Amino acid sequence: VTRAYAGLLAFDVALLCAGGCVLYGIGLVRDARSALRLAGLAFVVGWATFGVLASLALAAGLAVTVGEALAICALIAGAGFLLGRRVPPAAPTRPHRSAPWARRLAWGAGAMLACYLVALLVKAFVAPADTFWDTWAFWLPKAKAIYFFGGLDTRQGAFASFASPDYPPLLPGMDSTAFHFMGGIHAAALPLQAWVLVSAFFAGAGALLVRRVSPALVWPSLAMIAFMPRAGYYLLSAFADEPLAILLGLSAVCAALWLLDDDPRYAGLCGVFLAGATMLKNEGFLFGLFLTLVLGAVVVFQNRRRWRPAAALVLVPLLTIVPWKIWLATHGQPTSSPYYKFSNLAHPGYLADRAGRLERALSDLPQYLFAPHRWALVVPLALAAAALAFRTRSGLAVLLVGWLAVALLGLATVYWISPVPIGWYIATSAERVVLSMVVVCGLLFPLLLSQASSSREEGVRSTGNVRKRSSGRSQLVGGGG
Amino acid sequence: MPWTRTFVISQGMRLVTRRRLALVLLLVALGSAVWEVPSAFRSAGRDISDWAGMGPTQRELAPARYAGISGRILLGAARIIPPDTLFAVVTGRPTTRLSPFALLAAPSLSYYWLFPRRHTNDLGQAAWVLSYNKNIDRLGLSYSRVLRLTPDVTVAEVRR
Repeated sequence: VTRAYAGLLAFDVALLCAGGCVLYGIGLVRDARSALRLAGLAFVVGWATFGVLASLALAAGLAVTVGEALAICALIAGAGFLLGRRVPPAAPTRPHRSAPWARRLAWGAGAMLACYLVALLVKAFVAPADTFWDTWAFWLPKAKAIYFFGGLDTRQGAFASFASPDYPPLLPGMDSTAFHFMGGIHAAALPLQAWVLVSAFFAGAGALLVRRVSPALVWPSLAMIAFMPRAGYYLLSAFADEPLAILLGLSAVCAALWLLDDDPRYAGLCGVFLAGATMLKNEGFLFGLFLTLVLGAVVVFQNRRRWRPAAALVLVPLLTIVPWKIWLATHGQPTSSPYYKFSNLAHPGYLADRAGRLERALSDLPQYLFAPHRWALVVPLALAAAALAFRTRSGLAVLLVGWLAVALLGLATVYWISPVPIGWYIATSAERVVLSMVVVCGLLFPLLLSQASSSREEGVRSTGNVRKRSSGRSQLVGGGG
Repeated sequence: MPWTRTFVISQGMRLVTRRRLALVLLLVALGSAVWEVPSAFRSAGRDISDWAGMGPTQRELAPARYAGISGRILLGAARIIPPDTLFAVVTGRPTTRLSPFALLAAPSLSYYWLFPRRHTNDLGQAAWVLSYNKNIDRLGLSYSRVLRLTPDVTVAEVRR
């Protein structure tokens, strides 16, 4: 078991280094101080980048053993260094001027979050293997199949013979690589790996948001996400919904920061997280595509000259999924989910017969999304902040509300066209699939509050493609940089 | 000009109102987190004390315990069925020791645990059969070895 933990540590150090090099490449990390501050973000970036490349390597026939994994990390690091020679460093984060009570608020919320992460670390150390049905019914068996049979295998009892064979292989690929580093199957060590990702997410999201928003807004918002009533269930889980929420949440933050600051670094990071989300789960592709489409609409409406990066972001989910679909098609596997077929949208008779399902989905999904016993007040608070920010920063508010509406409609459509009993389908999946939407709401909440509390002129000044990050900073609680 | 002054004052007041409302939202967000702190720590503490004494094998077998399947069954099957073989899982009716949920979970859990053995749904190809309270004599196969793991669960090597 000690060897397993040592192996996991080695894997995580490799991911951290790879992600750090990506951040060096885009100019966010150029010295030890910024490297330390953005270490959490570096890990998540490394996790996502490695995960996407490992998925492509699996589709190309590799097994992603320790040697291949280190080669992929070296490739990412090399690309980061080469990019870093061309890309200038980002402006350093300026300290926020805050009132003493606001600083205490930020410290208090941060300390609360840190204490909870320590408790979760202890829990992860003693935790057993994940008992959730999907984990042992297909997520971990797929990882074991990759580990034992040397990659993606279509024989009986191998990768393609478990539920949802059309799901991309990022998570099983990450777990099987972790098993290679650990020297064997140690499913009970995976909660610790989940803890590392979750802690890196909170640290990384905090570091990203603090570049623009007062810490007094950032840390209470992150604490709100960590202490959601159902968060404890998902934070150390071994299925894909928690990492999907992390990657989609960070891609939404980067999309919002790009919208506000017009700094292409954020568009690049957004693309990395979107690619990762796409290769995690089918919902990742759908939600990611919707996010880029709404972002594109907002950007084109605000400033037509920025359409190129927006269009490139729309292409990210579409192009990322292509190699996986090719692998499925060339190996005789179903290229779409057995639970729904979008081609059914072209059959009005089929849809009309099932109109009741759409009605049921549209009435049930908001109940899952707004449920205070699941997510506290995260979604209503984010919507209230969006309403408040609409006057000064309509783009950001439209991005959140528009994406939520489109994602909810997309989910309702999936439930509508599916042939499986809708009661069972919603009961077994709705809470998990709305998790990403809730996390996006929680992460955009401090940005919206910051915009709501700045004057219209400050808001307009900061969008005018002037790339002055400090101009639109929070005026609430004395921020203003 | 008076109307400009009125406009500026009104804008300023709106900004102050928005800032106050934003502060209220922030405090509600923080309050909702603080409200959940005791139950979050209590839940984490409960899990830690429940799991702290578990050994490595028990931790790995937690999904089986969750489904109500004895770890002895999976460990025994892994000891008997050789690696690199095809096996099938069949299930019968519930018993006092095997609930309907356990029978529902049994195939997936067995596939999960018995790697690197590969599972098949085609009994004609299986070299081994793992039966959860199913009469294997009615499967139309002949066996070279039949071993009872528990009163309800049998593992049998198919004669080819």
